[in-house]
Amino acid sequence: MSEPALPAPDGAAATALDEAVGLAFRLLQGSIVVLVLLFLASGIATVAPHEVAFVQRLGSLGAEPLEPGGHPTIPLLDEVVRVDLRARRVLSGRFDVKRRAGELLDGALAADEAAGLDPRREGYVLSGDTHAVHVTLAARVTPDDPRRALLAAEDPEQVVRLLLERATVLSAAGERADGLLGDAKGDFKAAVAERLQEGLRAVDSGFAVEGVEYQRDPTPPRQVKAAFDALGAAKQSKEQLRLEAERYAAERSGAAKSEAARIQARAQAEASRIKDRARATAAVFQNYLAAWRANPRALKDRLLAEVLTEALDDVEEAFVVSKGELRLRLRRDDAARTKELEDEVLGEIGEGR
Amino acid sequence: MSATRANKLTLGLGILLALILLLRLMVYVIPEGQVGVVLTFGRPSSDEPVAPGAGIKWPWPIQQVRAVDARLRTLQAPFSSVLTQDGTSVLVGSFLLWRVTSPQRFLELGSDAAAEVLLQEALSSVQVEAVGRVDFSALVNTDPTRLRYAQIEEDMGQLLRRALSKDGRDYGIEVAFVGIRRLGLAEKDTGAVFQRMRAERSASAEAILAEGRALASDLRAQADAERETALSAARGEAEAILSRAETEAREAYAVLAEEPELAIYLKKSEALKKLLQQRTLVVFDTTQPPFDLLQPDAAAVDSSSEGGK
Repeated sequence: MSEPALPAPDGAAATALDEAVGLAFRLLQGSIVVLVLLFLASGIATVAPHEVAFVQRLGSLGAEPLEPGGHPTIPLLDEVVRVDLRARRVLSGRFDVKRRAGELLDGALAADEAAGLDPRREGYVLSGDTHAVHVTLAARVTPDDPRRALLAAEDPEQVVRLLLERATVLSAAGERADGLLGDAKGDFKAAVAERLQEGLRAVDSGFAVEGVEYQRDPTPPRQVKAAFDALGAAKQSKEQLRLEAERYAAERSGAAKSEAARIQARAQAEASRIKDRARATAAVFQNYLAAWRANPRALKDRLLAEVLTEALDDVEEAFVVSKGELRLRLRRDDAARTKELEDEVLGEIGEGR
Repeated sequence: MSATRANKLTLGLGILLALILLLRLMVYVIPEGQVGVVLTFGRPSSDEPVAPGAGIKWPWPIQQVRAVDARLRTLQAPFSSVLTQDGTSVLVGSFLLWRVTSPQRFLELGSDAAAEVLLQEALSSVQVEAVGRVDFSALVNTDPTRLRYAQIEEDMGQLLRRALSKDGRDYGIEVAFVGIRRLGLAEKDTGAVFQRMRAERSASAEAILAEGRALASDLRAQADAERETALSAARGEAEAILSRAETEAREAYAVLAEEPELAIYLKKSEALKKLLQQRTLVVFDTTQPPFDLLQPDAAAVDSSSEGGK
C-alpha cells in the first residue's frame, strides 16, 4: 500500500511568500506615493491677509514679496519667512513709577513729601526747567519696508523701545514741566513721534511711526502732588472768578439795556403827553377863541357855570354858614358813586320793561 | 523579485543616502541677515565674510562654517552717575545699536556674551566722557536750541569707535547708533527739585489767583462803565425826545399868544375843575355868580352882575 502524495511544501511556501512580498511591495508603493504627495503638499505656502512673505531659497531671500494667498515652493530648498504688517504697540514704561499691587488697584500713590525719587522704582523724565515728570508713552509702528523690517534688527521691538525712550528724554529736556503736564501735552507727543521716526530712519529699520500715545498721562511726582493740586485749584478759582464776573457783566448789561429802554419809553410817553396836551390845549383854545372875541364875559360865565355844574353834580352837603358864605362838601366816594350809578341803570332798565 | 534586482535597488538607495550625506557635509547655507566664515582646520580661510546663500566646503573636520547674526543688536549701559562739565551730578543711561560686519574678527572675541561685556564697558566709559564735556544746561533747558544731545551722541559714537579700534584692533563690530535713553538726578538731589517745584507752583497759584481777581475786577468795572454809558446814552436820547416834544408843544402853544387872557382863563378853569374833582370842602362867596342866586336879593345882585359885564 502506498501513501497519498502531498503537495511539495517548498512550492506552496514560495507562492505564499511571493504573494506576501507582492502585497508588501504594493503597500510600500502606495505609502511612497502618499508620502511623495504629502512632501509636495508641504511646499505650498499660505500667506495671511495681514502678512507679506519672502521665499528664502538656500539662504537667499527672494526679491519679490509673496502677497496674501497660496504659493508653491520647493520643499527642503525653500523656506518662507513672514512679516506681520499689523501695527505693533511698543511701550516705554521706564519713565513711570513701578506700582505695587495695591497701588495698581488704587490708581494713586501714597503721598510722601519727604522722600526722594528712587531711580530704581520711580522713573521720570527731566523737563527743561529741571522738574521730574512721570509719563508712560506707547508708540504704534508698522513695517513700511517689510524686507528691511525682517533683516534690519535682531529684535525690532527693542530697537523701537530704545529709540522711543531716547525721543522721550530729548523731547522733555526742552519743554517746561507745566507744558508737559498741561497745554503742551499734544506738542510733546508729536515731538516724540518725530524724533522716533528720525531714529528709525537713521538705522534703516524698515518701520514707520503711526503715532505716539500716552499710556498713562504725565503726572507730577507724589512728593509734589499737593502743590500741583493747589495750582489746579487756583486755576479753577480763576476760572470761577472769571465766570462770575462775566455773569455779573451780563446781568449788568441786561439790566442797563432794560433801564435804558425804560428811560426811553418814559421819555416817549412823556413826549406824547406833552404834545397831546399842547395840541388839546390849542384845540380848546381855538374852540373858544371866536366866542371869547365876541363876548369874553359871557364865555367866562359859561365856562364857570359848566365847571360848577359838573362839580356840584355830586354835592354831599351844603351849608350856608353865614351871610355871604356857602360851604359845599363834595362827595367823591367812588364806590358809593358807582353803586348809585348801578342803581340808576337798573332802575332805568326796570322802567323800560 | 529576483535577488539581483533587490541588490540593485539596495545599492541605489545606499548610493543616494551617501550622496545626501555628502551633500549635507559639503554644502552650507548662510541665511539672509547673517554673515558667515569658513574655517579650515579652525582658522578662517578668508578675510572676506561669506555672504548669505549656499556654498561648498570640505567636510568636517577639514572645513566648517560659522554663521553670525549681522542684524542690529541692542546694548544698554547702566543708569549711572556722571559729572557734567560744570560739576553737576546727573544719572545717565545710554544705549548702543551695533552689528557684526566681520565674523572672522568677531569670533576672535569668543562669544556674544564676551562681546557684550566689552561693548558695555566701552559704552559706560564713553558715556562718562561725552556727558562730561557739556554743562548741565546742555542736557535740560527751556530753550531747546541750547540742548547739545546731537553733539553728545556724536561724541559718544566717535569715542566708542576709537575705543573699539584702539591699538589697531578690529572686533568686526560696527557702531550703528548711540543714544541717551534715560536722564535723571541722584535720589538725594531730588529733594531740592521738589522744593523748587513746590515754590514755583505756589508762586504760580498766587499769580493765577491774583490774575483771576484782577480779571474779574476789570470785567465788573467794564460792565459798570458800559452800564453807565448805556444809561447816559438813554438819558441823552430821552432828553432829546422831550426836547423835540417841547419844541412841538411850543409850536402848538403859539396860538395862545393870540389871546393870552383866554389862555389864562382856560388854564384856571381847568385847574378849578381838577380841584373840584377831589373830595373836598369848598367855600364859595355867595355874592359871586352863580351863588348870588342864594342871596335874598338875588335879582338885584343878578341884575348888578349883568350890569358889570
